[in-house]
Amino acid sequence: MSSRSIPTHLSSCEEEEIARPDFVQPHGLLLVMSPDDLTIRRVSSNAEQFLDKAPEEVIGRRLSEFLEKENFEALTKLLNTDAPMYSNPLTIAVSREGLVEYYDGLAHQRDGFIILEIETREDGSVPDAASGRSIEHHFRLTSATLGAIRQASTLTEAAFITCQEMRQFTGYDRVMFYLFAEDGHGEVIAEDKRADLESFAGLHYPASDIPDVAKRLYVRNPVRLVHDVEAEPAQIVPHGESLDMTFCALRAVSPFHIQYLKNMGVASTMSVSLIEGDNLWGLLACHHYDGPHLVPCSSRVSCVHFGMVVSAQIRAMMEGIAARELAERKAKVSGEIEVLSVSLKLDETIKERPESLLSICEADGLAFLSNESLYLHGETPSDEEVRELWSEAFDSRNEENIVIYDSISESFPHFHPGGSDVAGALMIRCSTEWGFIFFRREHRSEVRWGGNPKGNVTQGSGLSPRNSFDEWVESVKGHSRPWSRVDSEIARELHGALMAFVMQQTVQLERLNEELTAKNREVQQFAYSVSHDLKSPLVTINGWVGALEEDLASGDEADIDQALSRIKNAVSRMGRLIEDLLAFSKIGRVRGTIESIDVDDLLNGLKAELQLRLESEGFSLTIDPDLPPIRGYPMEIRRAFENLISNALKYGSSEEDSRIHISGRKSAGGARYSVRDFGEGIHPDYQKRIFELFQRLDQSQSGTGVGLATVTKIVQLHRGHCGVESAPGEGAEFWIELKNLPLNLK
Amino acid sequence: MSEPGLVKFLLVEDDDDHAMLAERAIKKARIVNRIDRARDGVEAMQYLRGEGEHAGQPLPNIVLLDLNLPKKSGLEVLAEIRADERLKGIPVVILTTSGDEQDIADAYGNNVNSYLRKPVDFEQFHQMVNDLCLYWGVWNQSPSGEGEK
Repeated sequence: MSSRSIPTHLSSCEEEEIARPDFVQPHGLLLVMSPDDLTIRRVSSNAEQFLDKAPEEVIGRRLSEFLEKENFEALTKLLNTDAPMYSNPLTIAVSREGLVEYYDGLAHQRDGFIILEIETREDGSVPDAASGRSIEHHFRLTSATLGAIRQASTLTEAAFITCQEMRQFTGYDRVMFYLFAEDGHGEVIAEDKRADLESFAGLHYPASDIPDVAKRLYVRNPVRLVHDVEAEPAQIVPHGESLDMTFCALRAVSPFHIQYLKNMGVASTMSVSLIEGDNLWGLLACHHYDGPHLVPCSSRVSCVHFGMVVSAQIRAMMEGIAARELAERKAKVSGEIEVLSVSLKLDETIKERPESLLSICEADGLAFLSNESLYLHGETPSDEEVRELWSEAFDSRNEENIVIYDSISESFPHFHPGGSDVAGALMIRCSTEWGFIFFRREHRSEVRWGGNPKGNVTQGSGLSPRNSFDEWVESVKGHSRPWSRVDSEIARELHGALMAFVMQQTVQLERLNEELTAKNREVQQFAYSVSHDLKSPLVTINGWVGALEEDLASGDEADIDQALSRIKNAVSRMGRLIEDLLAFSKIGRVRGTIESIDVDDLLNGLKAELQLRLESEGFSLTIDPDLPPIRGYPMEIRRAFENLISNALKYGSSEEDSRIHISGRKSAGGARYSVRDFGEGIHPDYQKRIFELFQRLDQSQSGTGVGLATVTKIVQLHRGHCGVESAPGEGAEFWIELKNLPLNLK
Repeated sequence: MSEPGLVKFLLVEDDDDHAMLAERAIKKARIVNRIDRARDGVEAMQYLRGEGEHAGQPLPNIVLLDLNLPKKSGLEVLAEIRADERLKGIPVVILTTSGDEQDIADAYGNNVNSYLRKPVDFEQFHQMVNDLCLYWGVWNQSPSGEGEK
């Protein structure tokens, strides 16, 4: 028997070495057989203990030679099924000197061989009774525990119940519920133990205590028994290619781990994996101190089931707790988001209610960055430090929009928030210069380690397992209370809502911008027209005054009358222009109240007022009866009709026909009215232009070019359209289509 | 071919007063011996293209063009002149009350020969019209209007 040495380094073949030690724990026998005829190819060196024969006497012989005939047939039948492993444990009956002895057997296929492990049965009892008892046992264990866990209100309580039940079932001195944190280190969150033992509850263990390779094996083979740390392992003979023992219960323990257990004072252990998917999230770790302790195969199978059921139950419970917390927090967030989303000025709204924002993220301080400005509230670093932190956390390489630091100084060693007590930050970015930072104060805490986690393995040039498990208290500085998964969920919610808000703001801003651009264009056009058209009569007046002076000086009196009358005309034209412009500029600015307007009344009143002018210019105005009413600004509507009639009077006469006719009909949401004349008509090329300010088709007439522009503006005020239908020589029909305005419109 | 010795201006102006005052000033300069007037952009183009009553009309030595015109704006008239193979060589001088930057830019963008703002002051107006007649009617050499035909 060769002895095994402690490796002096851990390398990539570490996993290989752990899974393929080629040694077994000596409390059982391992047989490697060809699958076809179950000829024994290799055997563990402790064969004699179970079969009364030395390994060399066993190798090359068939398994049937050692088993009771009936038992062997049952075994071969089982091995021929698709998944023999699920039939474990088997009862193995071995004839020894005429007596039959019963063992637990574990069979599986690996590396093209049948591997059969045989373990001493606790009491050597007969098969039927044994299995019956174990099933009953198993049921009691799981159902009782599940019932109790369901009653538990906290994780710790559920874990404690699990430990209690497990210890009662297996008989170990101590059973611990070991929970892995995200960084891989573990914490004993609950334990049940012999009263005289010192408590490990609340102790933390470094991630290096259970390396990743070991974790992977725990996932694949969820129960691991170390029967006796003092036992000398038995080698599998003859030497050959090392066997993959991933699924072997008897797989020898690495010398490194044996030493670790010895250092801890443990004599015998068992671990049951708590797995979700492929994730090992916890272990039920059992210790025995006074000597070897054997949990028989059938009970271990129960433990595996127990682990699976408990794992599912407790994970569901943990998720339930998290989901409840998340729901509560989300409710708060959505209330807050509602307030923010109706706000038009986000920065002002935030400044009004920083405390409620702090409370939804359970933070002590808040920074709100919007473009160039920075708003700070509560416990925060300085203005400059916050900006520095922002640009470092969201530098060009970082595509994440949410970053979380429990310890800012650990991530940015040169960052020292001088005046403040801030340690943690949760940062939400909506754009490069737009977002939130929530800060948390430093939360000084103490972590109780089961031995100094930093002084564990390195001694001299090689590796050796740590030998001190004395409680070692680390005081943790520079950290905040950690941001939880719920916190980051909340941050994501907030980010989504803020992005939506920003988008909406952008759209709104764009619309306002467009409106402003349009207004600006209108104002520019107005100013242009005003400067041009108001200046024109000035040029005229000055021109004629100059001419008049010249003529008077030269004694030429022929044109004096003409000059004077032209000056008078220009002055009165200018007066009209100013009046019209003033009226035009008032539209939509000085509004009356919105009323339901009886258009019949309105037009008949207007006709009466215009009667003299109509008669003197030889026009007849006819109005259809029962015109539809409209809801709008009465003064403006009246002015629109006045301008249309006046337009017809100025331009709409012809020698044959001087009629003006007004008609109307209902239209979608309002009404459409037409003023028809029978004058020269308007060429299609100019039909659009005439509605613009100061555009006239005929300079000889008395118009100022403001009338139809005024109509257009009034129609726009009533959310409608206007236009003209005409052909040269056929008169023109000017129409306006108006919408009913809501009575309460502001 | 234009008549020898004839200096003819086309005045495109919708405002009767402005037209009369301009004519008066032009006449006073005693350089131009014929002024024809168009009252809007459409009439101006008909005149220049010799359409209808304007058939056989020799091209003017210069077009004095207002910007704000009914039916077709001064800038449109300018663009049409410059796009017309027969007309594009005619000197065009804008004479307007507008001092709008965009108008000036648009006019030069359409290769206007000169852009003049009507001064409100009578003396200045006369001085400007006098100089204009002297420059375009005497000193300046324009291509013969009918050359390409």
